[in-house]
Amino acid sequence: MIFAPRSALAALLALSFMASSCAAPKSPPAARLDPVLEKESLDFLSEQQIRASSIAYRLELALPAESGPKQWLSTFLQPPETRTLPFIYDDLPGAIRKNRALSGSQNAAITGVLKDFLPAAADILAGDAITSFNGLAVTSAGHLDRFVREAPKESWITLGTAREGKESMHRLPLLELVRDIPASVDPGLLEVYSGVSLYGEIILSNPLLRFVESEDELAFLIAHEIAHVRALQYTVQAMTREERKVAKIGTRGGSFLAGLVSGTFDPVQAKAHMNTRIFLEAEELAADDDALELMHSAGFDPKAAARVLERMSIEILSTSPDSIVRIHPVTSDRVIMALKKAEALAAQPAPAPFSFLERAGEDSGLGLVPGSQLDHGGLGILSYGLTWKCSFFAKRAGSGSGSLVFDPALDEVCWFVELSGLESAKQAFQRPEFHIEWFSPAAIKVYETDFKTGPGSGSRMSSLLALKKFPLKERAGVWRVRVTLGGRLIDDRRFALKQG
Amino acid sequence: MKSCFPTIFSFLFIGLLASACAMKFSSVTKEERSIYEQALERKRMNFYFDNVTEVTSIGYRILQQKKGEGTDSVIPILLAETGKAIREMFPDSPEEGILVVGVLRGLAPQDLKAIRGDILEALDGVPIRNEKDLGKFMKENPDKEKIRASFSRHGNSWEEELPVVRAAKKIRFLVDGKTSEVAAYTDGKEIVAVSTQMLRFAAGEEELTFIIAHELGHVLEGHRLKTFTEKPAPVTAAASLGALLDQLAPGPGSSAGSLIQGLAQAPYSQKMELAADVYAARRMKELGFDPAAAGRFIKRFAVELPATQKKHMLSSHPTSSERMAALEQFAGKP
Repeated sequence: MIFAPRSALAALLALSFMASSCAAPKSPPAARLDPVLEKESLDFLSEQQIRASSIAYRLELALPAESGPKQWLSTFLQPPETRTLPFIYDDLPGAIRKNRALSGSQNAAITGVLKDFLPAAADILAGDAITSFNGLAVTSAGHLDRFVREAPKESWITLGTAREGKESMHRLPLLELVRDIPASVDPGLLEVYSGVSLYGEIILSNPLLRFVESEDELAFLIAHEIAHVRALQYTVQAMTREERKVAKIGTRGGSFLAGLVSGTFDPVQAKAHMNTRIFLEAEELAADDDALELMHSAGFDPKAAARVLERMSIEILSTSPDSIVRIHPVTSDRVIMALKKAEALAAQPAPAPFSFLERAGEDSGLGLVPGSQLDHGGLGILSYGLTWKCSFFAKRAGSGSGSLVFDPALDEVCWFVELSGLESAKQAFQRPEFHIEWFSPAAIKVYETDFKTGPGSGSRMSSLLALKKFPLKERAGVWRVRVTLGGRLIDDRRFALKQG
Repeated sequence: MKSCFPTIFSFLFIGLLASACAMKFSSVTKEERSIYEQALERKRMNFYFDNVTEVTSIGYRILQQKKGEGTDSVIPILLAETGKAIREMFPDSPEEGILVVGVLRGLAPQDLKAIRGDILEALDGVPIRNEKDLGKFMKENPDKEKIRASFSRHGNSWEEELPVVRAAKKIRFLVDGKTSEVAAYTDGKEIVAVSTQMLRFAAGEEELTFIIAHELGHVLEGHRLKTFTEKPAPVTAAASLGALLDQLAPGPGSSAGSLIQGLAQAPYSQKMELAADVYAARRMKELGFDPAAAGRFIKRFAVELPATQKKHMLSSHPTSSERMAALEQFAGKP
């Protein structure tokens, strides 16, 4: 079931590719950067990508939680890719690495930083090579994608970077989104365009980013596309970075850029993955309505919507059905309704000014989020680990989430995992193994255990650490539990015990 | 079978969604819509009139020749025959007549009283009712330096003196809103068009002057197209703003939409492109603009829209670096 939609999408992709090649015989030639202007181009395009990403993330952080059948479906179909970093990154091809004096083994590099989401102290810049994530070596962007996906929720992470041969470490917050709907600026598009791809991503064009006269206007266009993606009644599975490379459809910002330099990015192919479905008038109006509410709750000015829609209908007279501006009377209706809605929203209390870093909480330096404290006899436990969960998604083990639970009555700490999608694990030739290690405050490994997934293993497995084995004096301090699945780290968290 | 599931599902849901939405959003009344659309139409007309006036002003400043030179005479006012669209916007205008659309900046006297919406009644006492009359008058009086023009507004008439501009060629300038691409193009004979998004892309008057001068360079240097697969939509002399007005009434199957198809991709040779650049840079210098703006524009275009830089072998345009180098070489000449 999990992989069935992929084949349907592949068919759609092929169909839409045929359709687009029939409709537009004069296909644009393969895009390539002018070698002399390569650096300027990359910097400019990254800057545009950052503009779009900053707004998309800000809107997505304000999304209401999904509920109902969609949530149920998404647990099956959507990989838990809702965590993202406050910068964009990609594998840089040799030419750029050389230009920026990066060493040969460091493929992944930062292509742009989201300033609104970075702590003031963090000194990371576009062009820095990425060397490690939470102490694990990073060799490629795909590698980093996986680490981010598997990182504990709601935590701060440690990022190692290198600039001109000098390495440094940074503490950065992870962005936790209700749903990650990436907004990518496609440099292959020469017209004013915004749309949704077959993979539920938002595609924008450079001329569109020039067309908008304020960030509020851009926020409306992105919010409108977010509304479309959310309204899709099926959850599409995002492509991995590797799959995109094979399909020659870069996205998530960076890949477009790298593809342009190496000449592997093909605008014709990229066009083929755009959603060719034309939304109905009613759907457009519904998306506008949702977009305005989202803008309001994310702290953007909803009045910008009517302005940008009207200007579009003035400047762009295109009447083709997939055009960004529809023929009358839809545009007029959209403007009138946007004005009405914006007025209604203006009457509502304004939301608090946006500050991501406030929401991210403070960094304790341990990967812990400080919070309430639980007292028990001579011990207190200081950690949000009580409610923490880590999620993972592995082809052979299915998906699942791990939790850390503290039981005061038994003086036990338990790391347990709940698995779903075990069907595939049963068929797997090689069953992955969970490996759990417990470390005392003195950083000594006090206990380790293995368990295998597979037939008969059940959907719940746990590893217990009996605290009563240790004298009270030795219990105070920061404990650590480290879990790997098939050799890959899926959870690494610390919890603090203190003398009551 | 399995793979059909999401598709069928989605169609089902789209149907439900559509009917649900139709109920939720039916709050725009016919009256509201018609009031808004009238206002929108005025804004749209003004937008195109403003921009076509600006592009034409710049164009004729480039085309302007010294006294005694040049082949064509034009008056520095943009005019249009009153048609249906014009009469909706200017209800006072007569059924037959010529209306002022814009006054060419830098070519007409600054204190000219005539403004958009005024009616041109006569030139030197000869009544002018349509473009034919206008063309005939200009042809019969080729060497005039000044013309007395009578205008009227709300029934009040007055006369003003207009200078005659000697131009190297009579060109029709268009603002193309049918495409949302960043583009400027020419048919090599009588039309130069700039897209609305190119107007947005061009940073300031200097760059816009370069863009228009480059296209005029193709026309004046007599560049012929290597191949011409698609003929551009015929734009007759009488339709001065007619083509523009077609654009203002969007509807499926409108012929003006095809204008860009044949022209935007007109394949001039690399040599011709470089020659047009050099012509543009020379004219900019003569008009007192900084010719370095040309190089800046070419560079910005390549940096911001890399997909326009085609692969070398297939290219009709030389690479931006070649164009910049050619311009630098030109700047070095005394």
